[in-house]
Amino acid sequence: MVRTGICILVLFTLLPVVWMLWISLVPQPDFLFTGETAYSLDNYKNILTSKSLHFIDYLRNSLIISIVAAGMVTFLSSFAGYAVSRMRFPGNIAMPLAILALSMFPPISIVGYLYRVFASMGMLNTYGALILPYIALAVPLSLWIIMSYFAQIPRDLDKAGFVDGAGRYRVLFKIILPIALPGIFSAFLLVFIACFNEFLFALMFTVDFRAQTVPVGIALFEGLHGEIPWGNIMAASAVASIPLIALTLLFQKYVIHGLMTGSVRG
Amino acid sequence: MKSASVLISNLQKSFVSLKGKTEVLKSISFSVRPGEFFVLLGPSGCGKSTLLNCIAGLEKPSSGSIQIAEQVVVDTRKKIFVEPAARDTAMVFQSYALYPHMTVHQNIAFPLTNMKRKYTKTEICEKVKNTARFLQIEHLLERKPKELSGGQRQRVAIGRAIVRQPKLFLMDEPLSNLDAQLRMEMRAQLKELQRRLAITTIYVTHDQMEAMTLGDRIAVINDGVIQQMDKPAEVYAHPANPFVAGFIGAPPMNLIHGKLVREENKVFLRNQDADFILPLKALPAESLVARTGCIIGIRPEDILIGKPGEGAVDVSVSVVENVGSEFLIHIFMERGTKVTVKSSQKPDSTDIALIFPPEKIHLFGS
Amino acid sequence: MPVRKLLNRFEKREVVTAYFFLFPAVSVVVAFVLIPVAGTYYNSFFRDVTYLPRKFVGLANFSNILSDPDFLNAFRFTLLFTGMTVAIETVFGLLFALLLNEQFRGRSMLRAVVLIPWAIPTIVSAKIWKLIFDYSYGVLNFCIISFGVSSDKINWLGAPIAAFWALVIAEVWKTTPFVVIILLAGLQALPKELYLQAQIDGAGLWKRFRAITLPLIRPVLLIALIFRTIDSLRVFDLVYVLTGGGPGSSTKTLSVVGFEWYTSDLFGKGSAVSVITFCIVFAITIAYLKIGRFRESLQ
Repeated sequence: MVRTGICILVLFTLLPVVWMLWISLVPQPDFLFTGETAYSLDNYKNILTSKSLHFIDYLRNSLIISIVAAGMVTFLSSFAGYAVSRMRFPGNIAMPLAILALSMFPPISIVGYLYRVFASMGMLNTYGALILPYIALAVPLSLWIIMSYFAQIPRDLDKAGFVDGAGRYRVLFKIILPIALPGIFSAFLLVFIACFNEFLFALMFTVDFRAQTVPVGIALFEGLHGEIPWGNIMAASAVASIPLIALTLLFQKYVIHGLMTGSVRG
Repeated sequence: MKSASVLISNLQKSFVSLKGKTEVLKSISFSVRPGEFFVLLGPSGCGKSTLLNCIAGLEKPSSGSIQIAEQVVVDTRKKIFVEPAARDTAMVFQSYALYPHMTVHQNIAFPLTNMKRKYTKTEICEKVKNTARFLQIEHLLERKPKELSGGQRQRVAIGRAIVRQPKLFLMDEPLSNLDAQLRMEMRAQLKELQRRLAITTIYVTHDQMEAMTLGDRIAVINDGVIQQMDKPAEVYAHPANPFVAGFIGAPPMNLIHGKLVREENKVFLRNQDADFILPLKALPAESLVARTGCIIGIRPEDILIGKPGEGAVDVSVSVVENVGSEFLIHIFMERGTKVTVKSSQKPDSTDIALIFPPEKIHLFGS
Repeated sequence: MPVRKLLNRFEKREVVTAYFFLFPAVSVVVAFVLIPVAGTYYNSFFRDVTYLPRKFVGLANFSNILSDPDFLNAFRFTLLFTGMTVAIETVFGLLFALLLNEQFRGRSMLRAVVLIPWAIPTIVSAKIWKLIFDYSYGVLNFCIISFGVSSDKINWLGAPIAAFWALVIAEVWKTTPFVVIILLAGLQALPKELYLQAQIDGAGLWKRFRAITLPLIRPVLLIALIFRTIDSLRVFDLVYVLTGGGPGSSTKTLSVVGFEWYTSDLFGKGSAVSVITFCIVFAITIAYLKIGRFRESLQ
C-alpha cells in the first residue's frame, strides 16, 4: 500500500513540471495533436537572447530585489529575534504576537494605499518600491523562525560570555549569531523564495523592464504576432523555476526546518 | 596567583513576576578568606545559584553589597554595579556552557581575547597550551565540544576559567552532570586543583558529600537564609537546627519527633509510637522541663544495637539492607516513626534494643 | 505608583538596548503594513474617482458594494473556493504526510521532491495548469480524446463550473506540499510508544489513527488550516493568470475585484472591498481559534 501511495505522490507532484519541460523543448505546443516531436532548445535561446522580451532584465531585477530584501530582512530579524528571545523588556510577548497578527493582513488591503504613496513620491517602477514592502511582509515570518532558533540556544552561553569578559554586542556577534546561522539561513531561503515569487505588488508598482520581476514578465508574456507563445512561456518558466527547485533540493533541510518553525508559531 | 577575599553584606534578592513577589535571598551576609574553598550547600530552589549569579554580576541584588578583594562590585545604596567582565571572576556552569562552534583551543582562548590588555596571538597560544597541559587536555585542543566526553568537557570549562588567572572562582554544581564514578574522580581532582592554584573558590552544590569533602568551610542555605556556616566537621558534629541535621550525612540523621516527659527521675521522649528513654546527662539542665515539642537527632552510625531492655527503646526490625561494607537496618514503626541504623554487624534477631550513646544525641526544639 | 513598580521589574539599560534592536524591524513593518492598512480603511470612506472631486461619503462605498453583483459573486466564489481547496488539501496533505511518516528507502528524497510544487513561482504553476486545461493544446483534452472519453474537446476554462474546478486543482497542487510538511512535523513529534501501547492493547490501524493520531495532531492541523484558509482567501496570482476572473466574472475572487477597482480608478470602492476582505480573514481566524480552544477544553 505504501508503494502505490508513493507512486501517486510522485506522479501528482512531478507530472505538471515534466509537462512544462516538455513543452519548452518543443517548437509547437500542439505537438500532441500534430505528432511533431522535434525537440530543440530554440525556445530557450529565444527568451534569453531576444532584447524585446527583456527576460534577462526580469531575471536581473528579481535576483537583485530578492537578495537585497532577504538579506535585509534576516539582518533586521536577527537583532529583533535576539532581543525578544533573550532580553527582558515590557512587551516581549506582546510584540511578536502583534507582528504575527500583522502578517495576516491580505496584501490587497496594503497595495492600494502604497500605490498612491509611491506614485506621489515618484518611486513607481523602482527597486525600492518592491524591496521595502517585501521587507515589511517578510519580517513576521523571518522573525519567528529566527526567534525560535535563538530560543533553543542555552542562555548559559550568554552568561559564560559575559563572565568571560565580552559585552552584549560581542556575545551576539561572536557567540550567538554563529550558532544561529542555520536558522538565519533558513529564514533567508524562505524569504528569498517568497520575494522571487511575489506577484501582486510587482504587478502594481512596476511598469516596464527596468523594474519588473520574473513573475510579472511571465504572466504578461505576449507573442510577437498576438498568439500565446507557449513554448517561450514554458522555457521562461523553466528558467525561473529551475534555480528555485535546485535551491530547495540542495537546502531542503533548511527549507523544511524553516517551514516547520515558521508555522509552530500558533 | 593573586586571590581575593569576598565580603557579602545583607544581600537580599526578590523577583517580581505576574504572580507576585518572591523573596529568593532574605538577608545573606558572610565573608570568604583568600584562597579558601567555600561551599554553598542547599536543596534546589534555596537561592544558592541566585547568590552565585549576584557575585558574578549576572544578576543585580535587590539590596545589599558585595566586595571582591578591594573592589566594591555591588552596592545598592551607593548605586555601584560593576559589569561581570570587569570583576576578574571566572565561572564554571553546571552545563559547562562551552561554545559549540569553537574548538577547545578557541574556547579556552576566548576570555583572553576579551581583555582590555591585548595579548598577541603567540601569547594567547602559549597560555592556552600551558593551561591545557596543566589539565591534561592538550591532545584535545583542536576538537569541538560535541566530540568530548563529560569529564573532558568539564576540564575544558575549568581551563577556560583559569586561563586568565582570575582572583575569584565561582562554580555552579559543576559535577552534577557526571555519572557517579566520574563524579568521585573529578571531586578529588578539583580539590587538588584548587590547592595547587590557591584561588578563592565559591562552590555551589546540593550534594552534601561534595560539600563535606571539598569545602574548607560550608554554608548551609535554605529558604534564602544561611542556616549554618562552619567547617564541615563542625557542621556534621554539631548541626544548628533540624534542617541542617537532616541535610548533612548519608544516610541522613534520624530525627524523632515527640514530647519530653519527666517521670520520677527518668526522662522520656514520648511520641505516638514509643517512649524513648534518654540518659539525663545528655540533656542540658533547662530542658528537663517538659516541652510541648522536641526533636531527637541521632546519626544511623552512632546508634548501637543491644538486646531488648538494654537501651533507649525496644523495637522490631523491618528491613535489613546489605550495602556490601555494612548493613542498613530500617525500623518502620506502626504510626510512622522511622529509624535507620548503620552497623557493621547484622542483628541476630528482629527484636532488638536501640542504644543512644549520650554524647551522640542532638536535641532540637521543634 | 503602579507604573514605577512595573518598571522596576526591568533594567533600564537592557530595555533601551532591546528597543534599539527591535526598532528597525518594527518600524519597517509599521510603515509598510500597519499604516497602509489604516490608510486603506480611511480611504474606504471616500468617494475616490479620477473625474470627480474627492468627497467623504461615509459608508456609501460599502452599501454600494453590498448590492453590486460583481462583489457578491466574488464574495460567494471566494468562500466556496477557500472551503473546497482547504478541505481537499487537508485530506491529501494528511494522507501524504502519513505516507512520508513511514520508513522506506528514499524517504528524504521523496520529501524534497514533494516540495517542488511549493518552490516554483505561483505564476509558473498557473501558466502550466492553464496550458494543461487549454482547449487547443491542453494535455487534458488530448487524454480525453485519445482515451475515448469524449469525442469533442472540452472548453475547461470557458465554463464557470469547470473553471472553478480548474482553479481548485491548480491551487491544491501548488499548496498541498506546505500542508504535508507541517502535518509531517506534527506526526513526527508524536511519541512512538503510544502506538506500541495501542497495538499491545489490540487496536487496529483505523482505530489507532482515530484515537491517537487525530487528537494529538489537532493543534498542528489547526495551524495548517488557519494558514491555508488565510492564504486561500487572499488568492490573487493564480486567478489572474489562470482564468483572469473569467469566463465573464464568474471566477473573480475578492482580491481580483479589489485589484480591478483600484486599477480602474475606483479607489474608494477598491479600498472598501479590501477592508471587507481583511475583516473576513480576521473573523475566520478568530473563529478557528475559538473552535480549536473549545474543542481542546472538551478533551
